[in-house]
Amino acid sequence: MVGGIRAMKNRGKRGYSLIEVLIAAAVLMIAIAGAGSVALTITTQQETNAVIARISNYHEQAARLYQLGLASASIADVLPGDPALVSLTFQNESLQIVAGIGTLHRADCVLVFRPSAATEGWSAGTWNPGDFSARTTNSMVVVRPTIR
Amino acid sequence: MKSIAKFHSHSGGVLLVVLAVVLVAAAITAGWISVMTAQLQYAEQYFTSSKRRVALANATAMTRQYFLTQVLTKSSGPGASIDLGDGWGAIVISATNDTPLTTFQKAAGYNHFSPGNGDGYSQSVACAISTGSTSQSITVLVNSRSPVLSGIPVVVNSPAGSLSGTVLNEGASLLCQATGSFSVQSGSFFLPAAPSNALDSSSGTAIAASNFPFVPITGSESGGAASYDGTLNVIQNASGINSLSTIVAMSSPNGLNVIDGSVSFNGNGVVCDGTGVVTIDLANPALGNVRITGNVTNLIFTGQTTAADRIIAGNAAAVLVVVNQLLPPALNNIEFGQSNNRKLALAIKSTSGAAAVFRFPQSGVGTWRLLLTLEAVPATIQLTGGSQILVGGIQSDSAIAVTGGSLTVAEEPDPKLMERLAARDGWLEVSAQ
Repeated sequence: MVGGIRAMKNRGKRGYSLIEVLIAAAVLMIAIAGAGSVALTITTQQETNAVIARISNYHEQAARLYQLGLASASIADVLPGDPALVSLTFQNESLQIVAGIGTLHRADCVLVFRPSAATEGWSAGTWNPGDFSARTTNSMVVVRPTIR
Repeated sequence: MKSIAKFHSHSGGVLLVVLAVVLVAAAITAGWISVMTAQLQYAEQYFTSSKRRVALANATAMTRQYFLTQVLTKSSGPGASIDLGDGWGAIVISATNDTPLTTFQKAAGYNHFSPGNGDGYSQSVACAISTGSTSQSITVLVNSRSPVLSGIPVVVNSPAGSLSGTVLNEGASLLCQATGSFSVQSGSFFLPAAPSNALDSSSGTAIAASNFPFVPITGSESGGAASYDGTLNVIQNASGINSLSTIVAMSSPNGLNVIDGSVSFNGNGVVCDGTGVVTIDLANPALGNVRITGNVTNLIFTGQTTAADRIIAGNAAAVLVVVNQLLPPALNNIEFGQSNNRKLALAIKSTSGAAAVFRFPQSGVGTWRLLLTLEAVPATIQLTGGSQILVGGIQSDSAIAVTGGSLTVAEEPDPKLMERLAARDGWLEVSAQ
């Protein structure tokens, strides 16, 4: 009699149904899958952030070297390489006449870089789907004196 | 009935726990995403901040060129407001009403680690440089001083400056040569202690001189425009600013003697025989400045014979002698007799390119106090054995050869008294307000 009552009590305490467990497992799986996807995106984003930080600094240093007077063809030789860098060129080099000053050396410092090695891309200040072959171009106008 | 109620209670519990876990994970993930989004926005601003810094550097370059062309070699300037456009640099320059290359002002905040060797003259101008949207106030100090009187007793300018023979320089030396269309580069400057004469990039291209803290520049002009490529044009230039031909008329308490070699003259320690021979007596206390306009072939300086005379001469007024030998005949003989302790600045300009011989006839060890400036005058300094000490300095844009002995060039011990008789170099310093 006593054993029968204990058995009834035990049956009452455990008792999760199969459907209940499956629902809970499904919810967890969906949450884990979502977190995994977000983690992948964020990892890509972090990597791209690092690339942008390096490349923007690289671009600025290239512009400053031009402003210091270095020949444009030599600037890429002076700067250390970067795996995200595709090309650095000085385009439209010319003598610009500025009223009140005279003639300045002027160029467009154009840098092309690969924003990410993963399947996410960054372009024009926003996130866009992309691939490894995605390229982003940034340009700066730089001038320097023609006399010292 | 009781067991059924318990069953329902436990079955809801597992879902609640799972949902609670998911909720906490979602909150953590949302926070993470928020932080990463902020980081992304921060990264997106890298290019914006880079653009601003480059635009400010563009504005600094514009300011530099403005001062070199519109302020440094001028007597006044109206000021300017210039915008490069598209947010790539803009400047606002205050008006100026002084001549930097002749001023005797000393602005507050003068940098004592400058090309003036800790001293010099300075004009302060307030400016604003901007990206077009943000602005920064700066002060530009337009500085000047004679390089020869500021610790560089040997200055050899382009286009053909060189120095040969036995020469001992007790100060620093500066040899400038102009190269390339982008004006002066570091390869143009020979630093006294440098193991080589140029600083090169990894590709072998000379790095611009602005890598140095201060860029040595020649404050002169050519062709009506300011020239900073290491050329020398300070004896008789078109603007009359930083021009020794102008300075000679205004810097002596004993007045000015204007001499033509074909006209006889005798007075104030200057004798011209009318046949091209001019003698200048540096022991004469009444001697003033001398400007020789041409037709001189022999220029003879006589110093002092006794120690007492040298002391007297050392306390006498400084003398500036300017020779503009722009037409034949050539001035080919300059003689320095005895020793000299009178402060003497001698500037000779020629357009013929004829060589001149500077003779020191006395043998043994002699001392001449002399600040020598030569434009287009290839020179041979001919000594008569022994060694000659030149107290002052040499600045030339042509070849100088020392023969017959050794020449020691030493700094002028009292440069402040010579400042008004010397041409200057100019340079700029920029500081934030």
